[in-house]
Amino acid sequence: MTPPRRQALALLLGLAAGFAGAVLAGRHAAAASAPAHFTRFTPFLSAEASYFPPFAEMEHLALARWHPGQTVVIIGGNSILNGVGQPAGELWSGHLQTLLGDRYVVVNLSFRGGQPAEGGALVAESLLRRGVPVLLVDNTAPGPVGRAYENVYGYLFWQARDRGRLLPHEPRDLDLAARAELLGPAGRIRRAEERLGARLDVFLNFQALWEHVAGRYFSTVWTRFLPLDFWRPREALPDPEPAPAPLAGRFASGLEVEMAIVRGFSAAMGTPDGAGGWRVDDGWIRAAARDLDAVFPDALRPRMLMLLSQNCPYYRDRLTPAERDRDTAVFAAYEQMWRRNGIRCVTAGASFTAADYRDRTHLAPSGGEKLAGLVAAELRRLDLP
Amino acid sequence: MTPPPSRLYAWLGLLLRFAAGIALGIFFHYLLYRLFLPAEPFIYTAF
Repeated sequence: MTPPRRQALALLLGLAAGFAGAVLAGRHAAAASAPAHFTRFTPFLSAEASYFPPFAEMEHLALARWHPGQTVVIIGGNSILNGVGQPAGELWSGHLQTLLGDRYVVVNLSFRGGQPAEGGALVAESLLRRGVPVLLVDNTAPGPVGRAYENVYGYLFWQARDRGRLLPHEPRDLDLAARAELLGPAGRIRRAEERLGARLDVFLNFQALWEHVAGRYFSTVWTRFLPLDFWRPREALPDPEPAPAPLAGRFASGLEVEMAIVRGFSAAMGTPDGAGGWRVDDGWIRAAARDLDAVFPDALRPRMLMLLSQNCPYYRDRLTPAERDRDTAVFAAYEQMWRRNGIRCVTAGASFTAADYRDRTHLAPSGGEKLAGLVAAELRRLDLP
Repeated sequence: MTPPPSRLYAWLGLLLRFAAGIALGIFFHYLLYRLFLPAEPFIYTAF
């Protein structure tokens, strides 16, 4: 062999060895990596700051804490359940753990901007498939339920699916096929990229390795949230959630905008029934029931507690009496819809005070404590192993 | 008996290329990660 050929061969062999080594390291990360001292996905440890926790990491966050004889309580949903408004030491899911005791392991996997069928719900499904006793606490508002495969966290769905972690659920397969037909050109490209990425990642584990490196050692992805500190290991960054502003000025700004949002929770769904009450449009309810059927497998439903998150009374008290009645009717109708479809559902926040809220929708520490009490009582009523 | 310098350099060259190959292999793995990062900016929506 001529020297140039030997040199090229050495380079190629090194390339293969380096790539294979990275794949093996990724496999190891996918099998065991989870952020240390985890309490929740902070803004630095989530998509907002370009950190995309792999599905395997989310599973390990639950499995690493679980011991036989315990029930895992997965918290999914959005920023309300993520605990926005509660500094790290006053997080509602910490109170929930205390109230439930050692028989339960509470793991808060909710995302800011998350939807009920995303991350946490997928992990609960996976644990159920593994035979781990699991309960899922989730939240939403009246309206469409959303999908796990159509938002920024859609990659988690494809990873879970391609790694064989999900329960068989034919309505979801049919829904996927039907909604794929509705995608525009950009949506199709994005879907194809997500699918290809997840399929390759099953074998190559690149996301597990490099997010592990970003979390534990150094990050290589610049983010505007950390313009100069983007390189710092994400797990080392403190939870930045501040305490709520003093009550006196807490709700002072943007009243009109917030009132429009509060009215929007029920405006489109309720129509006067002609007898002084409100009728909730059946089309909305049927659509939400179809969504629910598509995204939550039957086996998971008895293990779920769905919370309908109510707005802060500071704003609700400023609705007209008729608007308040409409709001109440719509929340009640959606509660019934979830229950009819086999999922325990309660409205959370209806009896809370304005001081229990940080803003229109997120809970202050006192609200978090009340939420923990409500959820603990509801979970005990589920009475499942 | 020590090998002649030219032979030593040849081995060193091979070793350097092997090391460069390892670095390239790791870089390609990293490139896959960057290629498949969800590219759309996260838009925070109020609930």
